[in-house]
Amino acid sequence: MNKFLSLGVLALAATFQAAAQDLQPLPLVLPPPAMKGTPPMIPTDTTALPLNDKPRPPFLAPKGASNVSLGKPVSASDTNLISGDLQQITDGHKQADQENVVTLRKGLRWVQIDLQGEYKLYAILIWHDFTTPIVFRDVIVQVSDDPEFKTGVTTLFNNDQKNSAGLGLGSDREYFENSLTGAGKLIDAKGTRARYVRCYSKGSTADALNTYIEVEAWGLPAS
Amino acid sequence: MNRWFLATLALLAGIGLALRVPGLRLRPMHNDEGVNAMKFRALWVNNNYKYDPNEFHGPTLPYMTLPSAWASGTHDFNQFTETTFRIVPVVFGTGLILLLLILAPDFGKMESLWAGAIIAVSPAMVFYSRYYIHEMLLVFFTALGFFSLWRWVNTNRWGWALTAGIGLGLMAATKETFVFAVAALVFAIGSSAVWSRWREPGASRLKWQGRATHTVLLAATALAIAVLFFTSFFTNKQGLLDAVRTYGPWLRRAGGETVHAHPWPFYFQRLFWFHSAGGPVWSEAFVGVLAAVGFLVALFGTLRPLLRLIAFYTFWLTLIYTVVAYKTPWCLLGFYHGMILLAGVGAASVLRACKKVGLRTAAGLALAIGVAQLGWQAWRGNFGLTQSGVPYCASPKNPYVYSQTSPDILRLLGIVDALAHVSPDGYNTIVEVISPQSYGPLPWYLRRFNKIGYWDQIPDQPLVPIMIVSADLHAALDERPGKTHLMAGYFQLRPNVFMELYVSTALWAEYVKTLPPEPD
Repeated sequence: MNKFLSLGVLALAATFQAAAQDLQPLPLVLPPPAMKGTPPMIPTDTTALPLNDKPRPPFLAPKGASNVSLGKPVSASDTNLISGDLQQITDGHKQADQENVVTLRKGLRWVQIDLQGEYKLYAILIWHDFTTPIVFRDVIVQVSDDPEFKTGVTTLFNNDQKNSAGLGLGSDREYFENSLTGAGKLIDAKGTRARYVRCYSKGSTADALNTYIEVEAWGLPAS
Repeated sequence: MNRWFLATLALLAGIGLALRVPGLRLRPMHNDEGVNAMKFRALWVNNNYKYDPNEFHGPTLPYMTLPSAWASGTHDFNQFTETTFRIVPVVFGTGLILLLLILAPDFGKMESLWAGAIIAVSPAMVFYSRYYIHEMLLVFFTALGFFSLWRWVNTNRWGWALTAGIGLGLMAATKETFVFAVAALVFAIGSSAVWSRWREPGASRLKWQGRATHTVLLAATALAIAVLFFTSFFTNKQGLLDAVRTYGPWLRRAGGETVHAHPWPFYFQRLFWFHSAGGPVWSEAFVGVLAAVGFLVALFGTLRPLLRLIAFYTFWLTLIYTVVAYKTPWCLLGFYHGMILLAGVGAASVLRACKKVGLRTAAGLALAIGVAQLGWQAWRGNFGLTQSGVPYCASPKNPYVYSQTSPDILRLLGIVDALAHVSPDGYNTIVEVISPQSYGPLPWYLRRFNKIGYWDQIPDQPLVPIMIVSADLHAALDERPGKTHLMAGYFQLRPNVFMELYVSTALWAEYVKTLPPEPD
């Protein structure tokens, strides 16, 4: 009951705020929670906030913002995948089922989405494999108008606090792949203009592999 | 007292030392140990130790630590280690074995040796002999005072009156719960008298031989010792009044106004059958069974007033501690010492009851195996590792571990120390520790930092380079505008108590430069 009340209050507040700024909550479609039965051991060696099942507050973006990455081409640092197909990362299937999981090899790896046009991006959502509550290491999200990411790179998120990826010291926290809510990780893109989205990771608390289920980029055409 | 007896007792003391001395730094400092170490700091560095009637117990612990500090080879408090402090209870815990020399003439040599063997290897006795708190000192001074009292009553020598006075004075100056031991002794004297009149109506009674002058000597010595310590050697007159005032707050805690209120079987579960999920079984039931035999022998066997007194004293002290709601596991030491003495009686009685040599040998062997398994448990409890690699001395799977500082916090301290090394300000780098709960033993571990502040809420002021904040406060300092700080990790201080480490990004960047490259 309290949960619904809180959600109601949050939605009401978001509506008022949105009306004032011509914003509206992003119409995100979340996959169902994944974790059933006895939860596994929760990793503790992390900067992530404790796992919880509270719903994420609505994220406001200008009216009309949509998932502009749906069905767009995906490339990766690692073409020799362990499982899955890169196109699954933007296919809209977000359930934590094994057939939806794309697995890249160990080490620092990235996947990149070509939005096939410049967009004003407001949010990036990432679902690694969230079957169990694990924490991916060195998660870095960058956007650029350069497919090589040599120029015009904006880092939206970086929790590589030891700069092991060599992309600069990250000051963001790690986070749990939230199998209790299936909410994915939402990164505020702050209206950054870009055509390409690149997501890095370097294994997880579970193993050294890098997995993805879905990546979404929410925005509006820059023009 | 023959050489054989003395040599065996010395051997037992040696075994006791062998289990107590190694690896005194293995277990992270408990909150109370850290507090006690910092109380000693007030004495050592500023020479202004003052007895606090609300907390921290009596003055003997810091003063008894002085010899260890003197012997440490340094005058710098920051150079002291856990060993500097924990060696103090080691000495008193081992000394408890040697105190049997006082009792042996009336208690019996065989009884003394079995009791000494159990004290040497008992998991509880060993574990808390390596614990820088007051309890082992209290047990030692209680034994010194009461054993000497017995000898004085029986020998009428002024030396024993003097020693008894010293023991009683030190008891009073060690921990407020000394009153339980005194009450138990008074009840025991009364109970023994009543029991003996009922059991042996015609038997000759123990006669009081103490002279009035000796009584005055005993009382004056006890009082003088207590006054010396409570007044911090005449530098704190208030200490005398505080020594009485202290019973206000402690009585409230004893009544249950405390987070340490536990049901009555608390001590017995820890002593005689303790099994937490995934851990081994711990049990000192061997001592419990022998103590029960000793108790019955003392009450129903041939009249031996000392044994009867110990039996009733143990009974009353156990009852008092069981009834009092405030329970921490080390408080069991007082009555458990009585049980061990009774176990010595039990062991000796069993052997004497075995008239045939073969039977006696078998019984002796069984008893030796029982003592050995206690020693094995003591070794495991202090030096063994759980299946997940956590030392049992810091694991809740050990019955004597209570609200123990997690080894995880040493990771945090390692990072904080490394940050000081890369900071241009070194140990003058400003550190804030913020927690609404007790943050001990962090003051001990962070003692080298010269500019450190402790808060119970996040202060309304600019962030400082290093901030250790209770996770309960949901500080989110890394989310503040400007993102001047990052959150470098959660660290467990105690069970269910987590701290977050926030570091300025500039300082963190310097620290990261010192790290070895991560493998791909």
